[in-house]
This record gives sequence, C-alpha cells and structure tokens, in this order.
Amino acid sequence: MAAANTGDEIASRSKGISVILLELGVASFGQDDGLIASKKFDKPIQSYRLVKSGAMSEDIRPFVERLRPLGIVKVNDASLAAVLRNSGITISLMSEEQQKSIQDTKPSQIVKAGFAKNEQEAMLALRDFAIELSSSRVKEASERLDLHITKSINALDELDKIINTVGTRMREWYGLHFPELDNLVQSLVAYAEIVSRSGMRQNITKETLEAAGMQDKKSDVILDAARRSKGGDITPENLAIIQRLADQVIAQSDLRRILSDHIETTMESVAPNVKELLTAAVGARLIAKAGSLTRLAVLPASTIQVLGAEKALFRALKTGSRPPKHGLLFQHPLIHSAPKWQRGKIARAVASKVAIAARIDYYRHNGTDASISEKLNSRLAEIREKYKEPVPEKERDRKYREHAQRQGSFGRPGQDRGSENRFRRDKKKGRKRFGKRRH
Amino acid sequence: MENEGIRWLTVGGQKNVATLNLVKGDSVYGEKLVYQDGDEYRLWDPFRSKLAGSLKKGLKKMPIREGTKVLYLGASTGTTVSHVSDIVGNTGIVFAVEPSARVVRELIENVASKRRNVVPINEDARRPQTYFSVFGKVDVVYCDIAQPDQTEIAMLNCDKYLKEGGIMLLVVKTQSIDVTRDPSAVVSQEAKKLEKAGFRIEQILNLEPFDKDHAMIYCVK
Repeated sequence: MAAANTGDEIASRSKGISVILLELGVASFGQDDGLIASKKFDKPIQSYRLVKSGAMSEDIRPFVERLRPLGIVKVNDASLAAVLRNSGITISLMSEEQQKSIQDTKPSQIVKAGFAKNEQEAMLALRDFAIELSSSRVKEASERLDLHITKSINALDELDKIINTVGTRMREWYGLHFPELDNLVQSLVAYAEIVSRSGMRQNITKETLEAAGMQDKKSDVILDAARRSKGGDITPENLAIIQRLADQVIAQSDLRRILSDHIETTMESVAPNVKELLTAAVGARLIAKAGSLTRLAVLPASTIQVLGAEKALFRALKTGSRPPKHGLLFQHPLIHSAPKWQRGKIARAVASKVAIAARIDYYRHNGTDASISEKLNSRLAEIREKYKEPVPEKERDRKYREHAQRQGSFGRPGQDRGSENRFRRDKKKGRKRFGKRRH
Repeated sequence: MENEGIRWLTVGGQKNVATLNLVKGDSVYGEKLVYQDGDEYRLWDPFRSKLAGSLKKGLKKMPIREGTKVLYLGASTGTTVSHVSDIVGNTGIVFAVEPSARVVRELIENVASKRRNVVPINEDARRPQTYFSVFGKVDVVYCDIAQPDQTEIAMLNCDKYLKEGGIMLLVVKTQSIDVTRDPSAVVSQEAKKLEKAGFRIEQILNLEPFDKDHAMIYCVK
C-alpha cells in the first residue's frame, strides 16, 4: 500500500499501522502488511451496523484494547475512526486513494485477516452478508408505523368506495320492492339495518325499526309508507341476496369505524403535530402521498401545498397556466370552507406550518407543540382581515403578469415562453418529441 | 452478436432476445422459457427491460458478457438484473443497488437468493461510499434511476467503482429530468455533461417504441 498525501504522512511515518473495517470483522496490519490482530464479528450484521453507526460493538472491545499501545493508527472507515477515537485511541483517516485500494482488494484483505480460507470463500461470505443485511433492513422498514398509516388510510378510502357501491346497489334493488323507503332513510347503514332486520316490507315492525335506530315518529311514517307501497312483490331468493348485501354494508361500515379509530390513535403517537393541524385523516393522506413521514419531513412547504395536485402542477409547468393553489390540503376544513380568493393564501400558511409540524414529529418525537397552531391562527386572522374582499379579476391578472415578468419564465431561465402565453390557458403548446411516435 | 449468454430466437414468427437460463426451470417474473439445442433460454421482453430494448434497437456492442463485473444502479425488483445475471454467468458478478426496501424484498426473494452472482445492496445510489460488500473495480456500470440528477449520480458511482476504460450504460429518463423540455434537448444536455466529465460517447439510442422519451447512452470512461 502506497502511503500518500500530506496529512497522512505524519501518521505513516510514526508507525504505519493500519486498522481496517471489513464486513466480516476488523483487522489491523503492520507496516510490512503483516497481520497484527484481527477479530471476526460474532454477529456480523449487528456488529457491522453498530460500528457503522459510530457505536462500539462489545465483541471487538478486546481487539480495540490491543490497539491502544500501538500509538497512532490509520483507519479506512470514518465510522470506525469515530469508535476508536471515543475509546481514546489516536487515529488518522486514510486518504481516499488508500481507502479505494483497500476496497479494490477486499476479498484478499478478508483472507489476510483470516476470516476466509480463500478469495472464493471471501466473495461468497460477502454476498451472504449483503443478502442478510438487506433482508434485515427490509424487515426494519416494514415495521415502521408510518407505513402502516399509509396502508390504513388507503384501506379506509377503498372501504368507502366499496360501502358506497354495494350500498347503492342494495338501495336500488330493495327499491323495486319498497321504493318509498329510499326518500325516508338517508343513511346507508340505517337503510341496511332495516333491510337486514325486517326483510319484506310487510314484516317491518316498530320493533325492527327501533332496533335499526329509527326514531318513534320516523317509524310511524315508514310503517305507513310500507302499508301503501307501490312496490312489487319480491321472491324470498331475491330478498335473501339483498339481505346479504345489507349485511355486507353493515359489516364494512363497522370495519371502517375501527379503521378510522385506529388511524386516529396511530397518528396521535406517530405524528401528533401534523394531526393537530390537519385532523388525522387528512394528515394520514398527506403522509401516504409523500410516501412516509420521513419523506414528508424533508419536503419543502411549497411541495406540501400542492401534494395531490400533480396533474395541475405539471400542466402549469408545461403550458404556463396558473399553478394549483392546493392539492390534498383542500380537504382541510379551513381551506375548503374559506372564500375562494383566500384559499391560496390559507393553503400556503397551512402548508408551511405542516412542514414544520412534520419535522418536529419526525426529529423531536415530543408530543404536540402548541406554538404552531397559535402562529397559524394569528396568520389566518391576518389573512381574513386583509383580504376580506376579493381582488377584481382584471387587477389580479395584471398583478400575476407583473409577478411572472419579475420571476422570468417561472424560475426556468433560458426557456423562451413569453409571459403572455401563460394566459392562453387552453391552447396547449405542441411539444416536439424526439423520434417518430408510433403509439 | 458473439455473446454466449444472449441468443436471438424466433418465437411465433417474431425475433426475440433471450438469455441462457442460469437457474434451470426458474422463471423470474413470469417470462417464457424456451428450449433450443438442449439449452434453456428465458425470453427477454424489450417492453419491460430497457437493456433488451436497446439490443433490439441496435446497440453496437454489448459490453456485458460472460465474466463481466457489473454495478447495477436502480435494480428494482430485478427483472433486468436477472437477465444480466444470466449473461455474466458464474464467473461474473452483479452488484445490484436499490434504495427502496419494498422492492429490495422482491429482489432478494426472486433473484438474489437463487442466483449466486447477484449481490443485493439496499443503499441510496447518491452515497456510493456506503455500499457494503462491493469489492474491486467493475467493468460496466448500468444506470437506470428516475432522478432529476441521475447523470450526476451515475458519474459519482463511475468515479468510485468503474475501472479505467470501463463502460457505462446510462438510461436517460427525460421525463424525470425535466418534463417541460423537449426530450431530445434533455438527452443532448446529459450527453454534454458526460463528455465534459471525460467520458467518450459511443452511441446514443432512442428507445421508442419500447419506452417513450427514454434514451440509452453508451459511453466509455
């Protein structure tokens, strides 16, 4: 090994002892490249990861002790260097060239350290190590709670669709037999309860209605309607199927409630601040859209603001039309209930607070921080005060055009698009593609 | 193409690329197995694999052959990786880098656990210094990642792991780099970046109709 540049020269002149971290263990070599000491990890995956995270692994402690009298040692890995430094050993990090040359000859280093009989065996050991390490990471990643939030909220949205589809079909079908009920009972679940408990309209009684959660007055109206119904008779076979559908609606709604409670509690423990700002459902959808809480915590507020509005955003980037004001955040009551002209401003304010909240949740893990919503509320009051009245459309367009000119071409210099173009919203610019399009 | 592992087979009147199956009887992602002259081949779908697409579009030289050492960035679930593993055979090796744990799971299950020449590395290609179990310089770097700075990432990896005179196959995903610009302009911009960094560009292929707005750059370090 060629000792190379400046900083390391002192170290190489002192003793020239090198310490090398390998996947299978640690080894130290003398100046003549002879092995001084080595220690194979007892459990390579755990020990390697511990050392890589800068912590001492117990199984190499005796090895480290043996290094102590040797003076300054050269180390090939920054994390191992930190571990040794913490144990009071003076180290110098190898130059990049030296690190590379060790990496290039890794199998032979493993053989020299006595961790494998020959290079062939060393390479196989390295491969097994790679599979095992990757597998353990996959396992860890699958245990992360924010991934479970993603799955939960997606399941919730799908359940909603299923309940709606099946429920509407049940309503339509039972409607052939008892059409008047459709207008009398709004809730899908209540309707399903009546169908499930009573069956044919002739069998609807005060008791079954009460069990289905109907009020006294409502029950009378329904009973009256049932007596005078214009609906046709229904065969027991058809009715049985409709009742099974109704049971499905009830069961799925039950599951939906459990799932929604579950999201509530998981969000409380994983991302309390995001939940505080957005409610559990919207917060969970945002995490799902970002991919994970980790990702959400590193996204800029401007991206959070338009998460879920990708189509509109990319259309805006391509054609120069107006960018979207909000994506998923629109589901937040603060935004969709606000006057139209305030929504963009509120969405921006909320997004910037969500960005901070996600970071606190991910990095600090320490309950809710009241100051976020306080600041948001004072900003919201400001917006409501300042923008009570909508800006006239003409003036708004003029302001936007001025802003666009100041900004150049949407933050993309060097692209000639012309600012007046961005107002021809519907006229898409034809794009030249390379090659002939066959599909 | 004088390459032991790759063969052009005519199946159902169509000329198809196929690779000699390293693991007999094993179909990795549901591809068809074809027997010819007593050997088993796996058909290689150009619509699913950009490398097969490049071969069909007329890649001049196939740098991956028996015994080649490959660093594969963006391995995903291992569709293309499995074919590369077929080609390099037991004397070659494929280091397959993939950051997402979800797809690494499938990469390990379907490919790495059955093929001794595939080493799965669950790391971000942005930080090549964190790769574990990689040894020595590689002959070929294959890069197929959907990131705006994919070319820079590829060059960073070449700098650390590709030998002098080694070859890089870079899949340029123009839509990941910049959706607003003309795809051919993006390709030539990326090609310029490579040349500036000292790569010699041998060939640029447009991957239509297999993948739209994608190009393959063949370059030498």
